[in-house]
Amino acid sequence: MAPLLEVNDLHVEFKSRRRTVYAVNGVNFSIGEGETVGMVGETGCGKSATIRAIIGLLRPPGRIASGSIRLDGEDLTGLDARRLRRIRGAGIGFVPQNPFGALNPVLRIERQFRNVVRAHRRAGRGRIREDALEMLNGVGIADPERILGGYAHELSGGMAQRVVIALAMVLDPPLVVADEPTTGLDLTIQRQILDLIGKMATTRGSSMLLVTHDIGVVAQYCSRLLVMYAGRVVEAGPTNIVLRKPAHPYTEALLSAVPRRGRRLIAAAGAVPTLLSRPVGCYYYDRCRYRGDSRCATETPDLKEVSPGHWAAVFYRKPTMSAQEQAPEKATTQAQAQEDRDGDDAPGTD
Amino acid sequence: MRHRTGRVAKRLVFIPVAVFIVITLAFGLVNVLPGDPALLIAGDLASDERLAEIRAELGTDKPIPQRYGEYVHQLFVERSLGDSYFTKRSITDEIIQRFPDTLELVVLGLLGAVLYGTLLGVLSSYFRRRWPDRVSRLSVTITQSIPDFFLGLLLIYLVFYKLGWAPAPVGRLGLLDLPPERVTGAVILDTIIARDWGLLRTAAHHAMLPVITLALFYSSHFAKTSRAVLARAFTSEQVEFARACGLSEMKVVGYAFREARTPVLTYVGILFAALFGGAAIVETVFAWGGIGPWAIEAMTKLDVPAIQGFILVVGLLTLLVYLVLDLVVVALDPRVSYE
Repeated sequence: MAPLLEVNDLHVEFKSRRRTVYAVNGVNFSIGEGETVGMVGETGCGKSATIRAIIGLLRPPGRIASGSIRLDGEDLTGLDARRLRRIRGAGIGFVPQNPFGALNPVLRIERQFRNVVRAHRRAGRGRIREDALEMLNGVGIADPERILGGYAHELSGGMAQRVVIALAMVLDPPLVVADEPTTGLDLTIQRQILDLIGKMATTRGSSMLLVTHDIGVVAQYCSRLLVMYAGRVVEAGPTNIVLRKPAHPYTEALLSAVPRRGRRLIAAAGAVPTLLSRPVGCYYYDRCRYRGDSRCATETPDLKEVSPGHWAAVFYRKPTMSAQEQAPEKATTQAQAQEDRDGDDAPGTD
Repeated sequence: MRHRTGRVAKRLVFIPVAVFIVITLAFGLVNVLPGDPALLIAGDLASDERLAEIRAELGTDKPIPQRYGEYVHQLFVERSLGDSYFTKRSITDEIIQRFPDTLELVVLGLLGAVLYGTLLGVLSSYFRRRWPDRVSRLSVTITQSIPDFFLGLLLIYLVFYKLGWAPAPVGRLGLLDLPPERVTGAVILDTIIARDWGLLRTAAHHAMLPVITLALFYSSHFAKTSRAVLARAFTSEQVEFARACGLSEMKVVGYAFREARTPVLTYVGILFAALFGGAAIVETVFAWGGIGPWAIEAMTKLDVPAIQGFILVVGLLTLLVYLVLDLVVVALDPRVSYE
């Protein structure tokens, strides 16, 4: 079965007169129907640029330099503005970071539902109202009638994000892209919202791309995981495998940087390269613990399958004995700690 | 909803206080001015007895608190603004006669400025750093660096003298036209009331250049404010989410524009009040005959009742405009009541 979303060798550049930032440098991944995929990486690793390219809303001077983005077989990169507009909202739903920023401050919520629905199809007020009420019910809002008649500033953070999710999914898009949907929210609300997004995607049968820098979130909600670094996917695979046996030193470093009880927190050394030029050799060369011979310095590793369904962009895997022994063990403890913390609804890994 | 009415009520309670302040200012500003109207009326060569006689006649020989008392009494009891020192005509009549002309010019000019200015602002911010932005900024730079009277003269030269598209700048109507029956005093409005469409054409034709002059000159304010606000709005999360939901670009512009409404409206209020004096030069250039040139003449002659009357009327009008603006902003923006 062809995947719902297929991103192929995507390159995104931000080109101004003086300089060019190579934000995304050959990203490949796909999302199957009904699948929830997590995308993690530090700030500046190209997550935002990638999803903005997918929804066709790269901020100028950003542009897709090459590659393809196929939704249901249709390449979005070649579409004109009109066709692309129809895809947004109806083909791909977008859940942004900050729900308060996303809602229109001076329009009643009902009117915002109406605008979204009518951007895609003709519909009467009553019909849209019914749909909106049903959506709001679905996102766990107790008194949807009142919310529809109100404004964004009357909502709490969690409520606002629920409304945003309802708006993003009211047209039943087959794919939902959520860009760190809980960053702006209280810790206590974050869990509820993520549960909700997960539930909505499952019940409505949508696929989901969940972008986050919180590996814990990925562990709990995503069946598959993409790790991004310097505008490339450096590791991809089933979440439990990647978290237990990370094949890329960057994934390892990310996992060590997650705070865990009873373990020293190791901050990942170094920073993401500025990407003012495309690096020569492996993009992770400067920070790599395991870097080897001149090959690492001169060639860029592509993703290769290290075990079934598990891909990593590496030439060598843990060359020294000590590293080979330490790393997987550590990863295992982390994955278990993760499950302990997440409680019962963590995906079974054994 | 309760919050909103509360805010409006507070605003209304403030009105009498503000009116009182305006009255006091109108009196105070004029009476602390240096210069003796009597001297101006009688001339430099007048004898002291003659001057004293005139001062007694005008009442300027009395102490200031007494004059203030008499002024307030005159306003509220006699309901009069007094008579001109020079023409002896009632100031109320003078203002009623001239005010509608200026009001018409200011309203039309501002309307033009808002429409043209915000159009520039929208184009400029939507097509940021592309050619519409450059054209619009050029227009802003030009119109705000040319003095308004020069802009008026330039338009007269080009559009009347060279092109012949506009009539001669001789006032509201042609020299041979009979004015419409006076109902409101605003010529264009009166022609509409009289259903005299031919005369309306003439009046509109004559209003064209002065209105365009004001519109162009003041458009830069609206262009700059709306550009600044909209440039931010177009990159806001709200607009991005609207686009991500597939809203059409027209709707997206509408979403962004709502952010610019309040600053634009605020500018309308400020300029509206400022233009009653500020349009004087344009009124003079086009022989419009509004209240501005009359007020300036009163200033130079120290015609105290006229100056007071002008300040009072413009001050009260400003209060009224700000009140209306406040109400409109509250009506347009559901967030205001909670701030």
